[in-house]
Amino acid sequence: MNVKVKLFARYRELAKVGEESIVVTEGARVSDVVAAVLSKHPVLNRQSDEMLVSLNRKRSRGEERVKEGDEVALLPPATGG
Amino acid sequence: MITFQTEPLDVASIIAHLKGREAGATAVFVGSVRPAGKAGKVEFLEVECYEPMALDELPHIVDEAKGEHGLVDAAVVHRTGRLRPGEDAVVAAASAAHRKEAFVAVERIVDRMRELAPIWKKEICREGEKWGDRS
Repeated sequence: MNVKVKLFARYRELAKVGEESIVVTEGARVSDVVAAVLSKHPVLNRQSDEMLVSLNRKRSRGEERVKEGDEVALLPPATGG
Repeated sequence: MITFQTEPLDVASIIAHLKGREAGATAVFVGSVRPAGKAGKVEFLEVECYEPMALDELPHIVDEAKGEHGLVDAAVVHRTGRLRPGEDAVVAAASAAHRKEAFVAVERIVDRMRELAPIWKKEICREGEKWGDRS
């Protein structure tokens, strides 16, 4: 199944892509999607300690199971305000 | 009032939105683009946002401040896109019955927004580019 992945700010620049579709197997969790993204873009591995993740715009710790069409985002630490 | 916009911020209209209610005090924070950045003299600041998520999270931050500090109302307007030094990047305002609650609440809103809202800033300098950090 396909999950939409969004990358922002520094991550988007490092991976040279802001949005892409990742194929994962049924029963996959958010952490599996993140692992697939890191495998596809190894340049992001160095950022993984500080990386925040959301599932359908809610913060995620990676445990939730994803379904077709879900949106997972990889977020650098916020610096707005 | 929680919005993102690429157009310049109109601080007066944001304050006007909060006044005329039951508040006796309105405190306002205006964050502007610094001319001197960490990578050198800033030519532009680029502000990027995961807007749908930020629009989910910011109301919680504002509601939290309203509950904690008895606010009448609050507003956050954040600019996105490319800004020049001196331009305003964000306005946060809180209105309350008295000044103390309004001051404390607006600081709380800005601190929480900086901590939680998916917004990122990058300084564009002649010497190079630098994404903001949390310092």
